[in-house]
Amino acid sequence: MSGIAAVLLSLLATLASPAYGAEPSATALAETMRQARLSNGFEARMDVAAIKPNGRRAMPFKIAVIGQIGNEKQRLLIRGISPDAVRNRYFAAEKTADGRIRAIEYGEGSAGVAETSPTERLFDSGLVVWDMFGPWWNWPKQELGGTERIAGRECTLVRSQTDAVNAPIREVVSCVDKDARLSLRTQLFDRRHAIIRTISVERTMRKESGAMAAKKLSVTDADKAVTEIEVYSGDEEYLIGADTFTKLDQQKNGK
Amino acid sequence: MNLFSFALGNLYRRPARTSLTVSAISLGIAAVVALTSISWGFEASWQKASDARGTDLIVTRIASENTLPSPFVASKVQPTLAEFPHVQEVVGLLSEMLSVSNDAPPVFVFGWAYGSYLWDHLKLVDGRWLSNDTESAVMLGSLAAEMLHKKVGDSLEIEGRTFLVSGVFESPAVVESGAVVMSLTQAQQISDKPGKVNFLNIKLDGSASEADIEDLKARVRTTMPGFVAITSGELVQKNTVVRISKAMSNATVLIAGLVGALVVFNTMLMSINERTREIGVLLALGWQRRTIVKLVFSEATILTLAGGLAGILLGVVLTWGLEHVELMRGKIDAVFSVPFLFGVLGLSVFLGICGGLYPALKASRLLPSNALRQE
Repeated sequence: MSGIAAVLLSLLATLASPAYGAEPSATALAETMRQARLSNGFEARMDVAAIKPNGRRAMPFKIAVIGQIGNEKQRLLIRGISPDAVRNRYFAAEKTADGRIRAIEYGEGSAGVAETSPTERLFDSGLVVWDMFGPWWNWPKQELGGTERIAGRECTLVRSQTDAVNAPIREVVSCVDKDARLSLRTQLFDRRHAIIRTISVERTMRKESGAMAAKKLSVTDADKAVTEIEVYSGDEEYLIGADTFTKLDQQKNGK
Repeated sequence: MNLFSFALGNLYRRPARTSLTVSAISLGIAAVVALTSISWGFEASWQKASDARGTDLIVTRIASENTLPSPFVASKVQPTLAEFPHVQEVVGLLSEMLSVSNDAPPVFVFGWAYGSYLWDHLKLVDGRWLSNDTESAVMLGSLAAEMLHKKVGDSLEIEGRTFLVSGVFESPAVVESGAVVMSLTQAQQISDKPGKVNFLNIKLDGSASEADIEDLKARVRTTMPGFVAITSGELVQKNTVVRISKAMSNATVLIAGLVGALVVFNTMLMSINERTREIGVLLALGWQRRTIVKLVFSEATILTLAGGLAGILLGVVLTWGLEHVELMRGKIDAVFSVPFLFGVLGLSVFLGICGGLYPALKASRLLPSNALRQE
C-alpha cells in the first residue's frame, strides 16, 4: 500500500526530492525527481471526490492507476472501478520517443479506442494524465527559487520552464521537502503566467523503502474547483501483465 | 468521631469544591481506563484472530510495520516453507481495508485460501459456506452483516464487482466478526494482485516445541531475504497502529496523573489555607502533628478514591458507548481486567497521596500561636 505512494506521488505531482548534504542545484533536484519516479510496475487505487466551485460535491468514484516508469518507457493505465459511471472506462497513455504524451480512451461508454488529449480532465475531475507523467522535470530550464514553509514543513522552490510554443503549461513551480523527498505543492502556469491548477499533498505515508509519499492530495483548479484524491490501496511491485497496455500498442500500430 | 468521619465531614462542608475535584479526577481516570482498554483490546483482537485460526507462525515482509503489509508473490516462498520441519500447512492471506457501502465505514476484506484451516474456527450462523474457490460469493461476519445491513442472498459490491452473500458467520475475534471474507483467489482478482498475499500463515504439527519455532524463524531469516517469520504476538507488537495506541494510552496516563495530582494539590492547599485557624485550634487542643498529616491525607485519599471509582465507571461506560458508535463498530473490542481496574484505582489513590503531601506537611508545621492569630 505504501508503495502506491511513490507512484502516486510521481504521478500527480512528480514530487520527490533529492538533496542530502549540500544544497543541490535545480538540475540535480530535477534529476532526483526523475529517478524517484522510476518503477518497474505499480498500482495505486484511490478514492476521488470532485467539489465544484459552488461547493457541490459530485458523486465520488474509485480508480486504479497502473504504471511502468522507466528511462526508456513510461506508460500509465487508468481504470475506473466504481460507480457505474466510471466502471471499466479506461485511459491509457505513454510518453513517446520525442517526449510527447499520447493518450487513448476506451472501455464502457466509448465506441472502440479513441485518441484523447493528455491534458483532458479524467472523469470530470481535476485528474489530468499529463500531470501524472510529471514532464516538467525533463524540461531543460530548472531554477531554484528559495525556500518556503508549507504546513510547518520547509520546502525548496523549483521553477521549471519550457519554451515549447504550443505547450498548454509553460511553467511549473514545485515546493520540494528534501527530507521527506516529496514535493508538497506543485503549481502549473500557462504562457501568460496565469495559474491553471495547484496540486497539494495533504497527508503523507511511509513507503516500504522508508521514503515518504503522498497518501492524500488535492488538486485546486483556477476556478476554485477542488478534487480530493486519497490512496486506499496499492502495490509497489505490481506485475504488469502482457495485455495491460495492449490497446495502447494496437492503436499505435494502427490496428 | 473518628478521623475518617472527621475528614469526610470536612469534605462535605465544601460540596462544590469537593464535587469539582472529584469530577476532574474522574475525567482523567476515565480517559486512562478508556484509552488503555481500547489499546489492549485492539492488540488482543488481532492476536485472538490469529490464535483462533490456529496459526503458529506468520511469514511476511520485513519492512511491514503497517496493519496490512505490502503484498508479495506467495509462490516465491510458499514451497520452501512447506518443506521446513514440523510445518503442517502454509496458507496465504490477503487483506484490504475497503469501502463496500456508502452508508458504512470501510471494513476489512479478507481473502483466505479456500478449504484451508483458516476457516475452521468460524461458526456458520446463517446460509452456507463458499462452495468453491472461484465462486463470486462472500461470507460476512455477524457484525459486518449488521453494519452493512446485508443478509444471506443479498448482493455486495466490492471494488466494482458484485458478490453474493452466501453466509454469515461468528468469530471469537471482533476483527473477523466485522469483516468480509472471500476466497483468496477472488480477493486476488478484485484487488488485481494475482498470486499475491500479505501474510503466509503457518500451522505446525503437534510435536513442534518452542525451540522448533525459534529454529523456523532462524531458517526464514537466513534463507529468505526480505522476509521474516514471527508469532502473532510479535506481529501485533510491530503493528504501527498498536504502537500508536499504546503510546497514546501511556501519554494519557502520564497527563491524567499530572493533572490529577495538581488538582488534589490545589484543593488540599486551599483547604489548609482556609482552615489554618481550625488546625491551630486542633493543635492547641492537643492533636499530634502526625494526626494532622493523617487528616489531610485522609481527605486527599477520599477525594481520589471517589474520583477513581467514578472515573472507572465513566471509562467503562464511555468505552461501551464507543464500541457501539456506528463508525467504530467492529473495530473496538476493549479489554478490561480486574487487576487493571484495581491498578487504576491504586493510581488514583497514589495521586491523592502525592497531591496531599505538601499540604499535609504544611499543615503539620503550623505553630498553634501563629495559626490562632490568622483571621
